[in-house]
Amino acid sequence: MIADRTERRLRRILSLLPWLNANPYSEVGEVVRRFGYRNEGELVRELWLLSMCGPPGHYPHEMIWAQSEDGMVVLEQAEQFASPLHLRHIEALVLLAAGKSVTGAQASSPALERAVGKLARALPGLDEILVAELPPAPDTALLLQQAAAERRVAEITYLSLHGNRETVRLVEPWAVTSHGEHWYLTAFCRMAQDRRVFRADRIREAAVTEEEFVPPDPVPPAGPQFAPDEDGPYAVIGLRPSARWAADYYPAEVMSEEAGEMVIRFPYSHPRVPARLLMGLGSSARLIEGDEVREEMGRLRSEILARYGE
Amino acid sequence: MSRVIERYINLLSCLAAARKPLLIEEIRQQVADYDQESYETFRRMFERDKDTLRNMGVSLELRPIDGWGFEEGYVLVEDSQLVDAGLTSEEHAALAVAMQMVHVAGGQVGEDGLFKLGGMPMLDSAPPQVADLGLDPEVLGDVLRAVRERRRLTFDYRGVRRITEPYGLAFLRGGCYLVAVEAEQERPKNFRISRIQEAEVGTKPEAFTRPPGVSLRNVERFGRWEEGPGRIQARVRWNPEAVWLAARRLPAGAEVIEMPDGGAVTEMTVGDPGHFLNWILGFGPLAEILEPAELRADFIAMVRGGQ
Repeated sequence: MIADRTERRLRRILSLLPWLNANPYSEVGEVVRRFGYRNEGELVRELWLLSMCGPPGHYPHEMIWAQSEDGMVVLEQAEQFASPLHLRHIEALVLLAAGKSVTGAQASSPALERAVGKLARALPGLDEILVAELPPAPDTALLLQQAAAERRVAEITYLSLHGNRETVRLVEPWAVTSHGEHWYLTAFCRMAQDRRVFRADRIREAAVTEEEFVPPDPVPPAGPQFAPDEDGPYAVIGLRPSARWAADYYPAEVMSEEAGEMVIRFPYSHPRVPARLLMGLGSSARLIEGDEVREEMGRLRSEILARYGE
Repeated sequence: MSRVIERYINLLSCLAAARKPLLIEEIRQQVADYDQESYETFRRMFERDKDTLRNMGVSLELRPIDGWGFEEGYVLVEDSQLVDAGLTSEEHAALAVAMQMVHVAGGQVGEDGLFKLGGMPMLDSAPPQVADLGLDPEVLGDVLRAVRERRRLTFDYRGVRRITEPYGLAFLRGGCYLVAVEAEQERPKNFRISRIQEAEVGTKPEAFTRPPGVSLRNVERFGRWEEGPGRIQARVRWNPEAVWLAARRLPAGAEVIEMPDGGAVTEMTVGDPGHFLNWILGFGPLAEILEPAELRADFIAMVRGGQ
């Protein structure tokens, strides 16, 4: 095999030539950026090299003609490189999955729909074996996405089901993303003076203000932080067979599985999440480890029973 | 390195220009960098070059030179295993936007594919990423191959080795599932692709038939209390803070009675009491089941739990 670097360079040339054939007289700057050349000089050297190539005999009138003229890339006598490289199945699948997910959302466009249609037809049978959709986004999520793109401060009315109260806060929206079934706003909350993640469907109202903000660079990861490998708090929960769905629904890690019980490690951002799950599952689950969660269950229990006058 | 690149471009040009399959000796004569003294050295280099090009989706294949078929020469053929998308540049750019918004399998696979079709298009503004579907490209590749070619797929899933007939892929409600039926079972199940381990693709293609009308959309929806066989008329009292959130989730036809304090009482038909109690539990002390008395008692019992 040839060196990786050479192979990458060859791949780039085999992508570049068909594109230049299809897009004659493109601006040098665009070609440099589109194909990831470091600078104009590197592209010019590449074109120079291509000009040394051609069919056998190397007659001047048959050699590839590639150079930059007046800020444009000129390519002639390279018809043999007219068709783009073809996609591997998995590449087609991944592109189709991303395309389909977005066509169902509000960011779709006629061009994307055509692209999805072509990909689906290009690999027979692919369309029938794939469905891809993002969960539907609440209106507030779309509005806040706009605010994040324009870097504008937003005012949100948020109902916290952890704290049982509604608050109005100014936030600097960094990102609006979907995780599992839900959409989340990740923002700097001016009330908390810290990063906060809000479930979009619990934002009752959102308004974009005129005020602009500067997001941190880089923007911290978006969404609820429940990656199982994180150092954050977690509970260990035992699930009986009827409660095993919880291991799929929540991003929990399966620690052991036996006929009678599956044991999962359940990372959480707020102890109320596992507390509520455990309460809802009743006798089909048990808390094996997690004092904070046990306390939270007690608190939730007395709050609710007080409400019921018990 | 330039010499190597030149050799490849010349080889491709030479094969494309020829009107007939080219004998290996002809290729050796016509491509400048193949002028090694020893035939063996040349041959090794040529075989390596063929492999490299095949990895990029360009295949050199042997074809008979004339009707007699005594001699064979090389032609360029497009790998039939590959996909020609035939996108316009506008469609290509739209796909680039979609790829930035939804990451699948780490992003690299899609970027490689997109790059082949014409580099990375310049976008007016970088679209925000809205979802990351994760997934290991290797596992996804195996799963895709098994589904497309209808090969059995065997894998470890939650500690059990499963032999399955894979029907399709469903990226729905934030989860990525393989829809497959296990041996000796009738109904297809959803397997989270991220939990599939040690996947093995069966050697036999078309090993089973996909039943017509199999749905990929049977991903369980949690908390759909309005669906289900029950017909329980329930009344719930809501605190003012929670009214709007509850109202959003109410099915059409549910009755809402506003209360003087800003709260509300709603009346609704419950199909699945289990899901319903869990939904109400989500509101903590902001909701109270008023009727029927049995449902209220069940809820209190659930909250008391093993206390």
